[in-house]
Amino acid sequence: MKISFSLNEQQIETEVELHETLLQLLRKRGMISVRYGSDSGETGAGAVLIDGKLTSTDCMLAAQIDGHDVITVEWFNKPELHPIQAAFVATGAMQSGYSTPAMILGTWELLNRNPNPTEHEVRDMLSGILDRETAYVKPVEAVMRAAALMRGETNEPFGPVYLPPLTDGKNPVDVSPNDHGPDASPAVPRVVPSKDVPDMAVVGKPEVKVDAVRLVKGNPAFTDDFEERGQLIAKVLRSPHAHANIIDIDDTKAVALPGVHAVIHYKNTPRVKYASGGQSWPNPHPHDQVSFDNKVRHVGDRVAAVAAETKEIAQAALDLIKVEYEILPHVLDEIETMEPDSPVIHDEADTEEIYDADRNIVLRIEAERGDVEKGAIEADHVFEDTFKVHQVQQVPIEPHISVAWLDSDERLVVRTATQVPFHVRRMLAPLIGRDIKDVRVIKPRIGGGFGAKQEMLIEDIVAHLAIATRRPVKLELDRSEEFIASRSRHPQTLTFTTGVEDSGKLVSQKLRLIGNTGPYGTHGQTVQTVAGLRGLTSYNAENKKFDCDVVYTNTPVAGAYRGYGAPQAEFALEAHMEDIAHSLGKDPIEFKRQNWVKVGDELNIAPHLGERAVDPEDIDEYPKITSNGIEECIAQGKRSIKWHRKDDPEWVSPKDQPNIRRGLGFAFCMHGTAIPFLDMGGCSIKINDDGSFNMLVGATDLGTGADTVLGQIAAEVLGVPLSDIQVYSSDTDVTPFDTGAYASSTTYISGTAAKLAAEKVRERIKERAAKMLNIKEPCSIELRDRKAIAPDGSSVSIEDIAMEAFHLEDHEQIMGTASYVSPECPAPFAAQFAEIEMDIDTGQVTIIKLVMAVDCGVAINPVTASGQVEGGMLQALGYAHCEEYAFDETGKMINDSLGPYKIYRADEMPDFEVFLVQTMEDSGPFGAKAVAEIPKDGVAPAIRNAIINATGVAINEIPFTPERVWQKIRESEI
Amino acid sequence: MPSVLAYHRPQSLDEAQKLASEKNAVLIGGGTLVIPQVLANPSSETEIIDLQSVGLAGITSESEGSETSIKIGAMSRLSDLINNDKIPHLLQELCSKELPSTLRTQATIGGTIAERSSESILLSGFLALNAEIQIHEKNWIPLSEYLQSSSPTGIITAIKFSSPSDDSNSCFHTVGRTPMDVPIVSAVGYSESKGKFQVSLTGVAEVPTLITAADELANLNPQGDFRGSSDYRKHLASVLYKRVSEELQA
Repeated sequence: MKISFSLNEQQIETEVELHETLLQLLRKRGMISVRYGSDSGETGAGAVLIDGKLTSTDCMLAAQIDGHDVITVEWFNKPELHPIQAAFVATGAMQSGYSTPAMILGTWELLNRNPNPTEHEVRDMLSGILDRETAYVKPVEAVMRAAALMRGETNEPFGPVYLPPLTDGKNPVDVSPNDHGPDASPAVPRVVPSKDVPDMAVVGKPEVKVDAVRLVKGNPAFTDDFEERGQLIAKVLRSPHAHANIIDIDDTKAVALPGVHAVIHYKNTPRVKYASGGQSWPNPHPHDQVSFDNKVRHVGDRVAAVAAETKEIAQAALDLIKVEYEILPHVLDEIETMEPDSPVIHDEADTEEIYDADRNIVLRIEAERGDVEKGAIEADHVFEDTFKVHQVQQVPIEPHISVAWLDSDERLVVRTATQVPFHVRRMLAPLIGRDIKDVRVIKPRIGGGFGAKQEMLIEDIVAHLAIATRRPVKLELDRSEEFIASRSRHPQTLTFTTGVEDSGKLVSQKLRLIGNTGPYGTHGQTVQTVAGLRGLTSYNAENKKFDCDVVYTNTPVAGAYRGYGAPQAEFALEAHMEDIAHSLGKDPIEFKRQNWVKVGDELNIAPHLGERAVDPEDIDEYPKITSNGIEECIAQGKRSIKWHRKDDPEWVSPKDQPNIRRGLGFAFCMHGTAIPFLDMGGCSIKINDDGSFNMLVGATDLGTGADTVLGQIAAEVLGVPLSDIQVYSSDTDVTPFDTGAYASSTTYISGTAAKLAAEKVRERIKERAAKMLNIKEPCSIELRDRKAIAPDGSSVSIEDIAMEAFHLEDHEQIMGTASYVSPECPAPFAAQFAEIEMDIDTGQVTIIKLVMAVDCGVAINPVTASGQVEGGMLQALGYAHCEEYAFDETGKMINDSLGPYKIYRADEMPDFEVFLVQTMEDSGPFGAKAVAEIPKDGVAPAIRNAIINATGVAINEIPFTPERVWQKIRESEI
Repeated sequence: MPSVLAYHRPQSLDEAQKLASEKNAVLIGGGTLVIPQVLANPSSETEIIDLQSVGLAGITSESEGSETSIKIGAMSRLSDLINNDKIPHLLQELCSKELPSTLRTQATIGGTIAERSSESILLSGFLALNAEIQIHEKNWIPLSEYLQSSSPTGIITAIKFSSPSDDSNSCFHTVGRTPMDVPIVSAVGYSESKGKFQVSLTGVAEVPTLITAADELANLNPQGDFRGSSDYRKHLASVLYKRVSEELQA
């Protein structure tokens, strides 16, 4: 039908399909700032202004817009930024930036009707735009600052507030109840500098993200923002059964449907075994997947795929595929699956290296230092607690999306939202019968990943279809598919057994873990290994043992999720340690302090866990803790959360609210920084005529600010501002190799590679500068302020050096390439605090405030680093409090949409406060350690321990949903 | 193959009524709920009847003697209520909690009523206020009657209720996983005058349910789900009823 509407003040008349959504229409017309997050409007990524009001476009027909006015963020786009866009840029309010255009539009509408909004009103405006990255902290700040700008006021530059340390860096201090800490916006990172860290020109500064302008303008950035000519649309037929054999597939009618170009399934696709986890070669066994199998193992498993002219034709074709199933019994629980009468999930003959297929045990992991049995016998006390943690999803607002096509040389090109482009290239090639050299993987901007995209999840489907059709093929998962057919966090059952002396010293600690990987192994081994690592390295004990079974079930597949096993283990560990302290009548922080690892302590079981585990006899020296700022973190956190209140009975049990209890909780957090001897990053830097630089990195920026941080490192070395570094990442044909964005590795590993590459370039610049300045010792020259400066004060600009190199003398391209793999894995530390209020009559727990103080070494960019902590805490809050998979008796997920699967929105967030406590980590680039994953570790145990403070009730299972908490309260009869 | 066979935008209620009588016709207000359902089912072959041009938007008040009634056209958006001075604060609050910012600008009052969701706190609020609804070519009927009918038909044109007097009182209590979660159970209490009150509950029956005396709680038999079992919902109903009654009688 024909419709007429105003788009960005231009009158448009156009034909639309009756089933076309407004989102589809706007994107078709080039408004690519309007982005897909779901089909029912909850994400707000596709919100625009309709007749001046912020409205989701994915749940309305294009036909409905006939006669109305639509404004998208493209309307704002001029060479200079609108004040709202400028405020979002200045505050680092976007990470991936996927939903930033909607936020900008909402801000504009809000400020038009209310130039001086309250924070509550700002949060209400943002309530329809879900964000998994910023925790809304900096977007709220951006709106408030934009309001001030538009009122004609001037804002102070946005940047960190620097706090004097409260400790000497080593010893604990008492924090005065009268000391209230900094009076600054919660969006402002609180940085506690270390005297060991020198002041630098670019590193440590709140530089604006290198891609900020692109993101606030809604310019093309993400996979779906680029369209190939003649692109087909793919859809996947998914299993309605949790476990079934496919007896037969008849695709005759689907193939015959006009507009269908290919139908693929087990009958016409090569059976090549693989494991989909995006990991270094060789991928851990078992390789228990094929592109299409004659058996399905979970609701949502692949059955067939179609490529067609339109999404609607593809969907109709799926409905025409006849599948004959033999339905099999299924099992969802990680304990039950090992019982003798449980169904065997992998009964095929061609999957090798399953530890015990008949009992659904994928593999066993065992590691021991000392003798835990003997240690437990010798201990004065032995404590044992069992914990259950559940399945949750990463929920990137941009779903998985890939486009594949054959280029003019008939090489296969895949543009894909992935964290691991180089792994995808290597893993994809054998599945489609090609050499690695015939495959190119391009990673554009990613709209959030959080581990879900550390996987070759759908790239093989579009590759098969592109080869079959010789047309570009796009596949984008819908929100339901993200839940049931993407990846999720491993549910686990964890039992800690700990021997303790009367003095409080730990003598033995054993972790028995059963990890549920779902029906495919993928990250099963490595996630459980990290759980063992995190569970058994935070505290010293002479005797330690990890005893783990990774098992198959018929749940949706588990995989990598930010934190990668640590959130599960640290919930159990910090709960267990808390309970031991209470049992022994000790203060939990004191008890933990007595035992946690300190500088110089060995990580005595670490080398025996992991993909490259070594036997005890093959190791000469154990890794040690090299830096640790935990005492300062605790002091800052205690002050912020007003820790003294936990012992005040009138605060805990307010007399005027008999159903209310309040509590404070603490968790000690320790994480890793990259995988030693395994994670590798590469970087290449070349100079341009004007003295600027192109930097090519294989690292993938998921919205973390990695491109910015790597650019800052290079700029610091080269003595130029960040704006002189053009960062490009990552394209397997163009950029150096990088293992990818995972394991908290990018700043540390890829950052060191960037530093080394920049140092090579710097040396060559200095050599040429010495010649130009007639200086004998190039090493005496310094690069700063875009100049090479000799000790005598003479100087030459880097631009002149570049011009000379390109055009005048000793012609050369000044460039440097470097790569880095680390033998170290320096640990970041953090103190996580939580304040809660709970209703003992209903079990409802309300989170009032979360405080995290992190020792991440030197934060290369304190704004992006604090944003990482905020976003991580948001996801950890959901894990602890409200997110969970729920299944019916057939194994079908019953809450596979946002809403029933509850993630926090802007108008219900607790207060957040983030402290960055500097330490100098000598092995890291300019002193940096990791920051991306540690915020996931402590929220659940801190809330759990706050519930104990409030009620005395210990709950060993998450999430803390109202009925679960109410039942525990009833059992305890408080 | 396409799930939408036709899109109609009638210009009058009569025209809409005629179109709505056709096979496969589906009425939409904003369409926030219906459109995703239709598009998710390619074999549904629906004809969309979009009511945006039939003149049902608007909020008016009418006085008759000492009583003022407020009438809300069915095509009024939830966001229209939030900023309208005629709307009682309770309903404004419930509107803002019913849906987030990007959906409440599109969703309509008529659509909210027609959905008859057990979990709708806005519907629960109207119920507590003894609201009445009008269906095209029919008389006003109590909302409670509409909600209890097994298969209601017709085009909802408006909802009205008496403007709360100065002596009236209201409150809202809820239990959910998070502060703005769709409540597991919620209770809206309304007291026209001191000593007399009623409570509307969500999450305890197939539609929001009005309770006028505590002993009616025993008759509830809510269906449980993963967020709350049947027993837990009954418990919450008792707790929230008690809180509402105490607050209104204080």
